[in-house]
Amino acid sequence: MSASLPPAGALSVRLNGKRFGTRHVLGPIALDVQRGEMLAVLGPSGIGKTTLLRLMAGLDDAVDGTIIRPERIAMVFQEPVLLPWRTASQNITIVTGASTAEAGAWLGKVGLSGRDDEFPVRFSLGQQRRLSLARAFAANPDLLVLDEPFASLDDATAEQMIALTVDLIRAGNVTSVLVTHSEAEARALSGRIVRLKGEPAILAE
Amino acid sequence: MIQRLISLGLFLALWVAGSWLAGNPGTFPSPLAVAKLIASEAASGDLAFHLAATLLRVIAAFVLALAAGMALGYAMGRSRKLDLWMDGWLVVLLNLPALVTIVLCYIWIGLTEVAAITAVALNKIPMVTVMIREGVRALDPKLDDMARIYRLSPWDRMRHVVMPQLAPHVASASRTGIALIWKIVLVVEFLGRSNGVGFQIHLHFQLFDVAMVLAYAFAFIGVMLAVEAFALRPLERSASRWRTG
Repeated sequence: MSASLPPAGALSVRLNGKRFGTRHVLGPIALDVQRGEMLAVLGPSGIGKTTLLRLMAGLDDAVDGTIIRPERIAMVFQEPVLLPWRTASQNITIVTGASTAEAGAWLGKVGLSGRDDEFPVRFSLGQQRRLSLARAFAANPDLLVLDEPFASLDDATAEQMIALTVDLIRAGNVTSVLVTHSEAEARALSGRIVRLKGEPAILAE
Repeated sequence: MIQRLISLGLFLALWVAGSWLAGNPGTFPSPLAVAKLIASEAASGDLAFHLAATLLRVIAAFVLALAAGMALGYAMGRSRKLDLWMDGWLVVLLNLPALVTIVLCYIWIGLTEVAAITAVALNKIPMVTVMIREGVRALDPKLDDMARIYRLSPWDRMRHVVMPQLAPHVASASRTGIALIWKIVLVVEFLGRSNGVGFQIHLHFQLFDVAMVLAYAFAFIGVMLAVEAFALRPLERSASRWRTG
């Protein structure tokens, strides 16, 4: 039995399909991500990328098939999804269990050093996204899931964020799955690109 | 501020004119007569005794109503099934006159403190439930996702994710709650207690002593305004500190 299980840190998806009511969103999907691999799922908006991502991350339990995923997952959402009533530092410590010092160090790595005690409302959108990225890495994840994390950022900020994310992923040897509609983002961030196509959507290399 | 003072002055002037026109200090005393009574009742210690009795009942009923209403509202907001089951009862309870609850509690439980506080709390629980349920329905599903991904404990979820979102709803439930509760407490005391502001009003109503009725009423209004200004509003301010950073 154990021979068929993928190695630790890897993700294995065997999906028969996904429906919402009468709408058939995803067709059969088979996907394996190796430990430390950076995979991008590319496809136009509305194709079912986020649906697939939510299944992978375990946010949607209604799985027709099997998905094997590591224990510790972190996610960078389309929006920053911070706790606006907690400080930048608390947003990391409360959510990930990191110490205040570790949180400070992560804030430093994303260019927010010294802003530990400020509330996120004082941050620009780019800064909020960087805080959300720091939170994801502070969780020390085996799998990092990124859902269009650079959408609605201006080009310069997006470029900066992508470079930062690549550095952090490489440094931590984190398995990552990125979902995006931007070919450039997918190329910049990932070793392997798969495409979602058709209706119901299936994968193509 | 200046408008408020003028408006208060105008109110007092109307009161003085009314009592002068009525020409009967027994049924329509002047503000000065009422103020003198408040002072003499305060000096004798009676005022503090009855105000404290009423305030304790208000606090007990308020805490009970808020706790029960929040638990129920949270459960109903989270579970569609429970909401379908309980919504009808809630509508009936919302429309049940306070007087009916009070009379039934006194008959079923007896003329006791427990009956009095239960009756007041029961009157307020449905409204708190409805307000909290609305708040729970408006909870941000993205934050739920985030809490789930990062596997926050149920306690951390409540404390850091849910309660801060519900805080404005809890605050408005508290404010409308306390305003309603103290008025119902007076009725409860009027009907079946032997101390408190409501009891004093009952007593002086029987003696046709309008000045005394007004003295106790205004003294307690003062107490409730102080509670609003020094307890509820500072709490609200500290809960919304993050909005301005």
